[in-house]
Amino acid sequence: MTELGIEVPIESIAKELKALWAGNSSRTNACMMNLAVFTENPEHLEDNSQVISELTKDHSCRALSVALDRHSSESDTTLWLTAHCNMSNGKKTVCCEQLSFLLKGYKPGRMRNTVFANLNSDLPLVFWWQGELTEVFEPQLYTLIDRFIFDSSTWPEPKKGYEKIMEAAAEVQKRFTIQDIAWKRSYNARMAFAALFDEPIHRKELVNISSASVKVGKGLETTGLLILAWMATQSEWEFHSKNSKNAYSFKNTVGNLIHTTLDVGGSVCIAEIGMKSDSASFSVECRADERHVFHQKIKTQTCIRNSTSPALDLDTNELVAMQLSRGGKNALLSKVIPILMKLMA
Amino acid sequence: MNNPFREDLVSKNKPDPCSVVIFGATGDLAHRKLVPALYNLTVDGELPSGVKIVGFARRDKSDDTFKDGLEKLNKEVSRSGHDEYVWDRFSQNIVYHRSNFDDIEGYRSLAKRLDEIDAERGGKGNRLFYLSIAPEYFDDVLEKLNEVGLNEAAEGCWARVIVEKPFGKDHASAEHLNEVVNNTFHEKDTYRIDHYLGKETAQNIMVLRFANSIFEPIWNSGHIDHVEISCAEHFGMEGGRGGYYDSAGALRDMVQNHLLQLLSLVAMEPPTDLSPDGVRDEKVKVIRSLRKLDTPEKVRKNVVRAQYTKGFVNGNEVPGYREEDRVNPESETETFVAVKTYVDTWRWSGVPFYIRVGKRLPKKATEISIHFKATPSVLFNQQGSDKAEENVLVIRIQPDEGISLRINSKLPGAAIRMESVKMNFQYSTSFGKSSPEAYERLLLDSMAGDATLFARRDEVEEAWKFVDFIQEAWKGQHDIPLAEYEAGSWGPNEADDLIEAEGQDWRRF
Repeated sequence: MTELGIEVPIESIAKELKALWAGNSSRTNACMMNLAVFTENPEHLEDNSQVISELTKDHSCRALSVALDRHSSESDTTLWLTAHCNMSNGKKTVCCEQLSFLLKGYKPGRMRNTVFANLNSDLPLVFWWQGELTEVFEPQLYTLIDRFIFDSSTWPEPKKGYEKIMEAAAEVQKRFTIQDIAWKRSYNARMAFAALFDEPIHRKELVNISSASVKVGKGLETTGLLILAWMATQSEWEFHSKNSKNAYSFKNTVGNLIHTTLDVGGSVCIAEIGMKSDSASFSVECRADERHVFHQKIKTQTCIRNSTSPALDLDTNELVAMQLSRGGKNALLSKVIPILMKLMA
Repeated sequence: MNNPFREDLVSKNKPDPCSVVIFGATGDLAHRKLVPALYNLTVDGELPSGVKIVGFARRDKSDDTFKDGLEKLNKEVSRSGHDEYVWDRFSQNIVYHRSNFDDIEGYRSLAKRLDEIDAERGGKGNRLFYLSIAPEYFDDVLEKLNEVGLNEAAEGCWARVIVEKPFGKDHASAEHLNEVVNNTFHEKDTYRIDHYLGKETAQNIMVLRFANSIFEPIWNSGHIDHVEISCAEHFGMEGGRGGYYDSAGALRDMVQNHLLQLLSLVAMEPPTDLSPDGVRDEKVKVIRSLRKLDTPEKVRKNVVRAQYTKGFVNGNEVPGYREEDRVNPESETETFVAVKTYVDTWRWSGVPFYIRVGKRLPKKATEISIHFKATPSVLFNQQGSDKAEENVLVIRIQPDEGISLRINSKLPGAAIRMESVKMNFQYSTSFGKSSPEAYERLLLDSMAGDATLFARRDEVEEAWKFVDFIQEAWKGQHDIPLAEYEAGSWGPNEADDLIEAEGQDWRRF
């Protein structure tokens, strides 16, 4: 497996890491965080190495790439070592270490130990969990995670996944910032939508809104639900009822009902976010033939305004890169989750 | 009622949509900095939608020719690259308004135009007036804005003014300019740009000092020997700068504003809060506490001024200052200044602050170095043994932004021998996201009403008071020489003498 580097005995990690840097003063070992990437699909190990190589161009880290082959009849661990090097400002070569582990056979605690034994001390642990949360996601693991990245749109049962996440967050409290790629995916769309209400005169219409709609691409239902939950949370709507699949009602602060719908299908990631009242409409649309822009539309009794905003159609790896740039506690996502859970019920 | 959908989408400040009127829109600053900054903000999705840019200038241009000129420069300088589609959409919000600065009809028509923009946007809006013009035109522009009522904001809206340096050429002119500005705009609506304050690394000085517990207990005269603030530039008068520079000089161009601002960030007390006035109150106290060089003798002893002669920079021969384009061949303008000063407070009593700035030095670098006191002469620092080098904390403002700490370490081997090593943090290898440029940050802050990174009236005037003593001493022909240094060297010998008099020497870059 050449993408993963050289295979080394697991008991010699420290020695091999030292040898990696010895005698080559032209390279700088840079590290701002520990980045653990976990998958239960062993075939993804090499792909993840390529992804990490891209990520390290902008985010220096010690990468721990772990794949668990739980169905293997064997029970051992294989380790590979490599470094991802990039030119910094065209001058020096900056490198990040990557340790790749293939864990054959499932043994409770082994993955956790693999990660913990190889952390670069005093640096935060960012953990990217690929796929569904299994029993490997347990308290002794997550209590030491600083940032937890996942994609709820890949879960067969997002509600169950979120329940586990919330349980973990409640237990840990101090650290454990959650970062859902399904949520990050909607960032530019939310920015474009938020801009529609920058003028005070448009914000006054919020209390009159009677309907809202969200359209997302195939397989992105969770992203759509997150956007709906966000609109409702920030507008201070209270969840009222689920009318049918993907149709929900809310009540606003003055007791008016708002009917909302979520359409899932098509190729555009986030095709539309809209709100309407009797006299106004606010929408953000992205067309299949113009995926790099959101068309922002405001129509009120006194003005019609059309403008555009960037729409970055990013893949998962690019979204993870954006997450790595982010600081803070991601408080807004935490705020949105209660309504999300009601929508998913 | 704030925009509820903006929560968490911008890290701190929420800019309001507005019309940005740039006076002097055909000038270099607008083309190279302001419009590209607004463009980059658009690319990042940070600029509020509905922002309209009105270029106000004297030259005869149409909207299209104006925009063509802006696009040409944007292609060269934009940090986000130039995207035709984005530019096309962005430039739809740019218009050109031709008028002389003293023509009242030009302002009346401007007012009408802004009202039309606001109506199109759905109501009375916010206005940001950017004075990208020489100070001699301030009076005209501000009086006319006042006359047509453009300085007054409609209810629920704001009208603000941004002014660029040079903000006066001495205390009296700065005070006059402040009166002129404040006769038209309230101080709270006045934003004086010092783009160094918009740099990430300058903002990081406060974070370094006050978000880390280890530094504050040693950030004082008990532990610090001296502080150096250096701004070295390798270029000279390229781009026709000679004309402006010859009337300004290093002291007014750099020391009065940028370097004293950096000094105030290093020397300030922790503010009570991070509000604009909370921070600026502490900064202005530093400037007021600078020991005044109020006699020619004090200036002679503590200030060195010099001018470069021909030499070599980056392997190329370069002319002396007096041979540069648009420079008076008999010019007495200084291209280099070194100042030794003290901040007379309890914290800093007896700690010299050395400020140094110069053109045609070997490299471009702006750095602050905090030099800690030597260890006692026991253990590793005894007479006759290898001397332990002092610890130095360096804050690199530009380029190679970052922070380093020099410490002593034992060399491997049986004997105890020491060498200095550097613990180094670099922005380039640490943070993935490239920072917005200074003007992007400052423009957003002005739209959000956050004046923390802008100089307050009293800061500017106090800085001029400090600098005026030096200027007066130079003008008064008190036998204070204008030294010389070869282009490509680190400045005149006199600057070395200045710091060596205290047994110190300039940190080698």
